[in-house]
Amino acid sequence: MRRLDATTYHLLLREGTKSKTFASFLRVLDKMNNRLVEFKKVVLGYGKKIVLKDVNLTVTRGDFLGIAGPNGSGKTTILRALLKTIKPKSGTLTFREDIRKGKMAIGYVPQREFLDELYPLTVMEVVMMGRYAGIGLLKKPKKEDYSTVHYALACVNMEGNVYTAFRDLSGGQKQRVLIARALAGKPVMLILDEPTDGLDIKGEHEIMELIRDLHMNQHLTVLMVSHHLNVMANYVDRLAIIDQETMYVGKLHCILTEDNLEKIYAMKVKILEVDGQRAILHLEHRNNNG
Amino acid sequence: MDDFLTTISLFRYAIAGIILVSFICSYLGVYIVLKRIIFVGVAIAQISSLGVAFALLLGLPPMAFSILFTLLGMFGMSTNPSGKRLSQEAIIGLGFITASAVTILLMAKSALGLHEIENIVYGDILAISPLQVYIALGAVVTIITIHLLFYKELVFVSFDYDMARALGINARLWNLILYLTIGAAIAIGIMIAGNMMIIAAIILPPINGLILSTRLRNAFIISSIQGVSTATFAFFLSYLLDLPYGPTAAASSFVVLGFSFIAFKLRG
Repeated sequence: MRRLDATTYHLLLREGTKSKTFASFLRVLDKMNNRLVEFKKVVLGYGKKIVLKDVNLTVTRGDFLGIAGPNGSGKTTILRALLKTIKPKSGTLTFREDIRKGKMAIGYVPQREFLDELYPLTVMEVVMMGRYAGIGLLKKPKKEDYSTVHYALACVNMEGNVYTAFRDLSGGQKQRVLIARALAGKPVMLILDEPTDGLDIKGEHEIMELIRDLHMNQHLTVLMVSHHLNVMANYVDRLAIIDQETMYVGKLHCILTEDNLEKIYAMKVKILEVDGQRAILHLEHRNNNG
Repeated sequence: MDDFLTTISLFRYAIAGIILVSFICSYLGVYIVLKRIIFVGVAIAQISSLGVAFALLLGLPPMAFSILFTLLGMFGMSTNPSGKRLSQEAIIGLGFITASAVTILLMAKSALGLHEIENIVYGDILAISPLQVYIALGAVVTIITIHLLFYKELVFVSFDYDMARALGINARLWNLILYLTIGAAIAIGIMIAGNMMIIAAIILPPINGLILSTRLRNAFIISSIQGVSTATFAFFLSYLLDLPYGPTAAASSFVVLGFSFIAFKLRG
């Protein structure tokens, strides 16, 4: 379907509110216009091994989506497909045209542990990497690249550490720098791989609040992969849980139920709400033999 | 003084060769140490020698086969046909021991005398020809030009491969370029300065650079300067004291590294 220009779209939206059917049609249209990535019956894997099958997932602008699942369930595989480092074995994975053409960027925040601490790089050098795709070959960073890096560091409250060695930072600070690096590419969507792994409660809270702030105030679409369900439960709007090669996606309250978690993790769980915060407790290991 | 100048004049090609290969190997060694692929470097050095031994046995050009074997070795060690059954380290060990053993077997079957072939296979700095120096000069200029022009891409891919790919940078190509330039430098270095000197050059000066520097650019500079200065100093030392060059170069580098450790500890 051809995308509408902004003026026509807003005119239709204003007129559309007068008719209920037309309004719902426009909502669908709106969703289609804001679609960033779409998986349709996608099968993912490595070599002959199938990791995930029949993945149906749409990421639209403004989403705060979490992908959870037991260890080895294929969370990282989904992420690799999104980063185009693996291709689907079958099905279609469609990116919005602007993303395909490189006009819109996807920001990626890898797991901190995957980055080698031996490298004597400053915070500035690490964050500048987020600009490299735009700078191009045989060119050096320009004044505006440095301004973007400073702005990105200010967004994560790390502007005071521009020339600090990356390896000398704490876990939480490193995570902030990696988020700044992703922001330096001026992304439309932020993909985070286990952003709270290895952080203490305070660090975990600070990083998640920062991500929420970027989502709310910078209008960034956020997709995060994590096995920390307690974190997901309090931040994401939509949740995708992977269970035995299949992915279930929906609104958080529909997916995050005690029944679903018991089935997926094969253990008894209880979801509690304390002062508006959700907490997931495991009660006992379910006897697999019956 | 006259004696010194006469020595320089007499061994000008050897000195030029040493400066060229020690510079490029100690520069690229920073990547080898950072990427934790020191054993790849050691195994590649051995595979390069295997290429020379193979070429000598069949009467083929040694340098071309040294480079060819090195590149094949680089490719072989970057793959793991066993899946998860074997570690990459096991593949590297396999490459090292196989290349070492086959090199000795090929040398034993060569028509040349054992000492003569050892000099060719493991490099003899005094036997260096002007042509080898010109080849080394061409290779070093090409490699360093690539590395200076594409410094940011090579560092990025080396530091965070997945992020580089996610940004649409052809990480696989840059990684391949990095490995090929390392392989070519080691192969040419061994033909000129010998196995031990090159292994020392890819490990010790980069360690020194990384100890003394808090910035990556400075680590490259310190490593290159130390690599060239200790390799050249070791040449004169080995000449004056009648010592084998390779071990003298390695020992000299180690002494400098020792001083660096002390300076690092004193600095706190």
